[in-house]
Amino acid sequence: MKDRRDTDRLVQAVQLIVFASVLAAMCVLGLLFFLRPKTSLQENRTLTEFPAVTLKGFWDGSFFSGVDTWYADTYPMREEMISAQKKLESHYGKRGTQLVGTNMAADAIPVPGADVTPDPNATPSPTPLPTPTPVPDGTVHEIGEFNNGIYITNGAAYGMYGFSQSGADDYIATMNQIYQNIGGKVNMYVMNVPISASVMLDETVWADMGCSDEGAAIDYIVGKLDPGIHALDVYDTLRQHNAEYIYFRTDHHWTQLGAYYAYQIFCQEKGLTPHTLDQFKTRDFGAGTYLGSYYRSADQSPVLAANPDTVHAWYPMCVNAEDSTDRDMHMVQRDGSEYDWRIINDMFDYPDSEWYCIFSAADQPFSSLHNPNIHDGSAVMVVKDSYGNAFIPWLVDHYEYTYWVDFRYTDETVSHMVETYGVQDVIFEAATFNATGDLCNDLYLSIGS
Amino acid sequence: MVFSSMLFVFLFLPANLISQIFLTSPRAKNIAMLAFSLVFYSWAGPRYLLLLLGMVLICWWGAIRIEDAPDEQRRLWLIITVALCLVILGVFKYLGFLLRNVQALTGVPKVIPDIVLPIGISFYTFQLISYVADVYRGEVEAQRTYWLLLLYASLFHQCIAGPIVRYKDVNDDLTARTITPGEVSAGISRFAVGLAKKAVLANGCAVIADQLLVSDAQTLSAVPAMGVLLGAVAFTLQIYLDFSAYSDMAIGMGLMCGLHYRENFNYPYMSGSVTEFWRRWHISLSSFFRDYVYIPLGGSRCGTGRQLLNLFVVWFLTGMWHGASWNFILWGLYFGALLAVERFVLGKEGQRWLPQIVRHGGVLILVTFSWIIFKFTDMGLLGTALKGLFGLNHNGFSSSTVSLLFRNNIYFLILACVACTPVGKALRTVLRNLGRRNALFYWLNAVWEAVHPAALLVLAAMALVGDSYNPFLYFQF
Repeated sequence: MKDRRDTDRLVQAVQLIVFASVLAAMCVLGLLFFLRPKTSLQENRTLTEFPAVTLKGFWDGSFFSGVDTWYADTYPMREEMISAQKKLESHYGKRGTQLVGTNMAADAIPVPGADVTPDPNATPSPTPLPTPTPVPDGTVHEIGEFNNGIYITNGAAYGMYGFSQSGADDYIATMNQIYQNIGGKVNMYVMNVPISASVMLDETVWADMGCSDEGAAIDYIVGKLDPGIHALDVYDTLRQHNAEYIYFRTDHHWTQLGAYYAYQIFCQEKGLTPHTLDQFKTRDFGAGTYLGSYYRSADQSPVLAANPDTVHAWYPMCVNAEDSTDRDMHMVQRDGSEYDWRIINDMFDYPDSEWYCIFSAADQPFSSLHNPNIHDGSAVMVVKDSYGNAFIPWLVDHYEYTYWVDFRYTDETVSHMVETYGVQDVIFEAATFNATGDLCNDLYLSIGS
Repeated sequence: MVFSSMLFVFLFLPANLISQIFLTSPRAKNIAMLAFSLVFYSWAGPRYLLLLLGMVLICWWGAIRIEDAPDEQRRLWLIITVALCLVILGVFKYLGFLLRNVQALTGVPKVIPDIVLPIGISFYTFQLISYVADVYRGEVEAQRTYWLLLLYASLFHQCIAGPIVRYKDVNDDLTARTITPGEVSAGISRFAVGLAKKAVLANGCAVIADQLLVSDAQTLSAVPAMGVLLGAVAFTLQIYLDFSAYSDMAIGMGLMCGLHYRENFNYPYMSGSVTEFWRRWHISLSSFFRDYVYIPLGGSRCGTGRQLLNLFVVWFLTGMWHGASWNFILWGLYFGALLAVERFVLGKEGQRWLPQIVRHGGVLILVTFSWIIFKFTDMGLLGTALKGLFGLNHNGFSSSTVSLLFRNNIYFLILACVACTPVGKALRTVLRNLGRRNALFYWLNAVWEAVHPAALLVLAAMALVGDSYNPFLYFQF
C-alpha cells in the first residue's frame, strides 16, 4: 500500500513536470520574437502586426485586443499547428464527401429577356456556334463532402455560386456605360467565366445545396448587355468539355485547357482561326505537389491533399519556350516597380500553393507583350481577374501587342488606356462571382468612368 | 482577456503561477494576485476598471456601515448599498434596453445613449451583493481592508465568467492558503480538461451551430427543419461545453493557487426533470436567486398564488440577468412556466409515473428548445428559426447540405455528447478501481494521469492558434 502511495506521489510529480515543461516550452516559444512569421502562405495574407501604442487604443482596450490577436496570429510554428489541427478535424466524421462552411443566400435569377422590351433596331445576335461534336460527359453526379462554402467530392473541391441581383445589374450597367464610352472606337467583348461547380457537377447536386444556376446568371447578364457588345458565352462549351481537365481539383481557377475553349469561342466571334493544341510546346509544373486555394479554404482537406493538381502549360508560339532566361513580356507591379518577365514563367520555383501564378505574371495592374512575329499594329487589351491569366497566352499569337490589366489593382480608366495604347479590341474577362460581386463593382465603376 | 487565448495560456497564466509558487507570504501572494487580476480585467479597456473599483468601494463601505450600525439602521444600509449596486448595473446593462422599448411605444427619447456593457459586471455585482447580504445576515464579518475585498471581486479566475463565488467560501483562502501537491495535480487536470473542452469541443460545436442558426434572415429562412434542429443540438452542446469549461478552468486555476471554488455544473443534461436541471446548471446563479431573492420573498412557504408569483419573479430576473433583451426574458419565463407545471400540475407523483427515459428525453427536448430562444436576441430571427424548426418556412424537412454537415461531423458530435455525460468520470473511476487489483491497469491509470493534462494542453493550443486562421476569399487572390 505504501508503494502505491509513493507511486501516486511520483505520478503527481511526473504530471506536474510534464505539464509545466510543455507550458514553459510554449511560453518560451511565444517569446522568441525573431521566430514569429510575418506572412501566411496557407492563407495568402500578411499576418497581424503588433498594434501601435496610442492613448486612445490603451483606454478603449483596442491596443490590448490587438496584442492578443498579434500574439496568436504570429505564434511560431502556427501553420504547422494549424495543419495538425486540420488533420485532426478530418476525423470528425465521414468526410469522403464534404462541405466546408456555409452557402450564401442567393437572389432568384430573372428569366432572361422577360422584362426587356424588344428593340426593333437591335443588332442581330452573334452567329450561333456550330453544334459541337459530342464529347464524353464528365459531369459528377455524386453527392460529396462539404467544407467553408466548399464542396468536396471525388477528390476535387467546388465552390458554390450565389447570384446577386443588385451585383449583376450594377455590372451590366457598368459594362453598358463603358460601351457607351469606348464602343465607337473599339470592339468590346465581355466574357464571364463560371466556377468549376457549375461546369463539372450535376445540376441537381448544386441546386440541392441552394446554389444558383450560373448558366442562367450568365444568360441574364448577356441578355441585358448592349447589343453592340460581343458577349462570349463560354458556359455551354465548358460544360460540354467537362470530362477533360479544364478546372483544377484543388484550386478555384480553370486550367489553361479550360481557357483554350474560351479562346476558341473568342476566335469564332472575332472571325479568327484558332490554333490547335498540337501547334504549341508544352510543359508541366508542380506535378504531384500543387495544392491550390480550395485546399486552404477547405481547411487543408486530406481528401484534396491526396489529389494534387498539375499545371499543364502551353507556350505561345511567339515566345521562346526553350530558354527560360528569355523574357518576353513586361509588367508593372502594384508598388510601381517594373520588370521584364515570362508569360509562362518557368524561371523560378513557386511554392506548392502558387503554381497558377506562372501564367501572365499573375495579378498585376498592367502587363504587356510584343509579338515580334506580327507587324500590323494590331493590339488587344484584356481587362481581367485571375481567370484571365490562363487565357492571355492563347491570345498573344494573334496580335502584335497584347496588354492586360487586372481591374482590381489598376487606377487607370479603360477609355484612357484604349487611347494611350491604340487598341482595337478590348476583352472584359471576369469570373461571374467577381463580375457580380459588390466589392468588384466599385472597381469596375472606377475603371469605366 | 479570455482563458481560451494563446496569450493567456502561454504568457499570463505561467507568469501568474510563478508568482504564486515563489512568493511565500499570503500578503505577497494576494498583492500579486490582485495585480494580475487588475491587468486581466483591464485588458478590455482600463475605463471599465474604474467602475469595478467604484462598485467595490461602495460595497466595502456599505458592509462596514451595516456591521457597525445599530440594529435598527442595518437594514437601511443594506438597502442603500444594494440599491446603489443595482442602479449601476441597471444603468450600464438595462437602461439602453428600457429606453429602446419606451421609444418604440412613445417615440421618446429621440436619442438613445450608446452604453457599452462593462465586461463581467453581472458576475461581480452579484458577488458583491451576496457579500453585503451575508454581512447583514451575520454570516461573515465585513472585510475592513479595501484591497482584499477588491481581490475577492476581481479575482481573474471567476471575475468575468463565473462561477459567482460567495465571499464566505473564499474568505479563509484569501487570508491564509496552502498549496498542496494533490490539489495542484487536481487543478492541473481540471484546467487542462476545461481548456480542451472549450477550445476543441465547444468551439467545434459553435462552427456547426453558426452554419445553421445564422444571423441573416434570408439565409435562416432557407434552413430546413432538420437543419434548425441540428443547429439547436449543436448550440445546446456548445453552450454547456463552453460555460462549464470556463468553470472547470476557474476551479482548476483556483486549486493550483490554493483557492477553492464550488462546483458550478453537475452534468445538467442528465437531469430527469426541469427542476433537477436547474439544480445542476449554473449552480452558483440559481443558488444566488434561491438564497437572496426566492427565500426572502417567502419561497414555497406560502400560498399557491404567492408561490407562483415568487417563482415568476425569480425566473423573470434570471432571464434578465442573462441579457437585456426580450428573448432572455422569454427564456426565463419559459423555464418559470415549466417549473410551475412540474410543481403544481405534475407534482412529484406525476413525474415518477413517467418512465426515466421519457423524463430524461423530455427534459432534453425542452432544454434544447430553450436554447433556440436563448440564441436569437433578434425576435424576428427567433420567429424565423422557430417556424423553421416546425417546417413552416416551406423549405422541406431536410437537405443534402444538412445531411452532409451531419455526416461530416458525426464522430465529433458523438464525442461532444459523451463529454456532456459523466461517462469520462466513470471510466476514470473504473480504471482506478481496476488498478487496485491489477498492475497493468494501475500503470495504465498512472500513465494517463501523468500525461493527459499536457496532451490536452497541446490539443487546445493547436485549436486556439487556428482561431485566427482565415483562408483567403476569392477576391483577395
